[in-house]
Amino acid sequence: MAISLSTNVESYESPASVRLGGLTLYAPNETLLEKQLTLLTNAIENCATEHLSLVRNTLNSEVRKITGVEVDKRVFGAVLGSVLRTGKIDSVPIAAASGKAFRALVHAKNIKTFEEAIDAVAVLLRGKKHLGVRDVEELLFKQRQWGTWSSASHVLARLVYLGRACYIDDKHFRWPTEIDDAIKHFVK
Amino acid sequence: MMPSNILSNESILLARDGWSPLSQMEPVIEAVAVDRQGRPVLTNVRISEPQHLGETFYVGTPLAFGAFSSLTSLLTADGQRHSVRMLANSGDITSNCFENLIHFPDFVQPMISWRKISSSLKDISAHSTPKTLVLRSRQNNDLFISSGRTQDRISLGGQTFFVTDLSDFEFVLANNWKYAVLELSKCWEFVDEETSLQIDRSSYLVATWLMSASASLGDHRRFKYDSIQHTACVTVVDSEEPLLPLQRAACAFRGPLDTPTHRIEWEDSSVTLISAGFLLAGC
Repeated sequence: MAISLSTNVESYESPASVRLGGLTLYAPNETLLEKQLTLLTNAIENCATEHLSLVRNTLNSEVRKITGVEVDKRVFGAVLGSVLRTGKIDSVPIAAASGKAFRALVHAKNIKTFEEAIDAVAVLLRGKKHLGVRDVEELLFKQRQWGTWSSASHVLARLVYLGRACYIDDKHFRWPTEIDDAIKHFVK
Repeated sequence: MMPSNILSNESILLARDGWSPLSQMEPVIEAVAVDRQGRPVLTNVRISEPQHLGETFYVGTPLAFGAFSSLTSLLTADGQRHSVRMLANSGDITSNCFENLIHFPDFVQPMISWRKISSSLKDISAHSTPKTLVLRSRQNNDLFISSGRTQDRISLGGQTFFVTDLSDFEFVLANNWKYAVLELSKCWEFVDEETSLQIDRSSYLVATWLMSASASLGDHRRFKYDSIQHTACVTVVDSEEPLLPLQRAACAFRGPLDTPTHRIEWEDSSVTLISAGFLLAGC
């Protein structure tokens, strides 16, 4: 089935519409509008459930694989926004090696696991002082699969965002031992 | 019967000593309310123990951002009551206007303490110990959180860590809350296309204190959100013009986790309480 949702009111004669955030989506009629919104929403939720975390572009390509159709970026953004609005998925700020912040998407069912992973990796990093994304992938996932490396890197990037890790390069991280030393020095 | 409302464990109320998280309030407090003439007054409020878990909802305008229970009823600027669940589920919150109150009335004596705000600083104070405060800033800026005693500053991988004695920081908070809040907010400073403060949603208590401090100092700031339908951060940007209390809603959504709810009751049926800058309807 092709996705006929559009952001252009002139796409259809007397279209059905729904307002999602700042965008209005149009479809030829109410039945198609509801059917296609449900299709996209379910695909977004299902893909997000299967990964501990993923970024928006990856989610978009996963949804494309499941539905078999190309979805306009703005339509995808509006529908993803509506899923975020219901609390079924949350976005979590994480730090890029460049110092910029970006968002990882985590399904509500996986939030507890994601937070536990952050705590477990922080303990491991504090003990070992250095960790690679591959080490964390092995710790968190029984089997390497498509997406597990990315999720492992998101957990580490979240630790950087929280000031509990520093980038060595985009695949390797270290514990900020200087802080522990400063605290010891400060207490004395 | 006393007017009542339901709030989330994550909600904050304007009390005699400023913004406080509901989770840390005594069972009976004096809170700031607004009477029918729009004047701020004090009223006694009874807060229940945490009750059953409930959905958490967030509502934001350019002046205020707050966490509420799905059963919370807010007053919109036209005097209508709306449940936050209904507001968030509508898909387009921007058709609603709120009267936001973030400026402290004269009788409020702001008291901000580490105990009150520490749970809102988890994203920037991970290394802190019971006696030593470690604050992390994303920019290579200076932060004056110490009253003059030693303060260590460590730059690491684009982040700066400030280490100081917690009691020293408490002293700064107690003596000049506006200055302390402004300095503290630098921890979230982020320079991209424009300089902004990107405060984690979970730290919105500090963002609310910051808006009150800014209003008190005559600085003009406003909140921005990731989108109308959701936000991970409350972004604070400078505003050229002072913002009027009447503001159009800019963001509303349900949070992914349920939180305990509290029933609040207040004595005076002619007043409405203030939660994170929003007026609570009495039911």
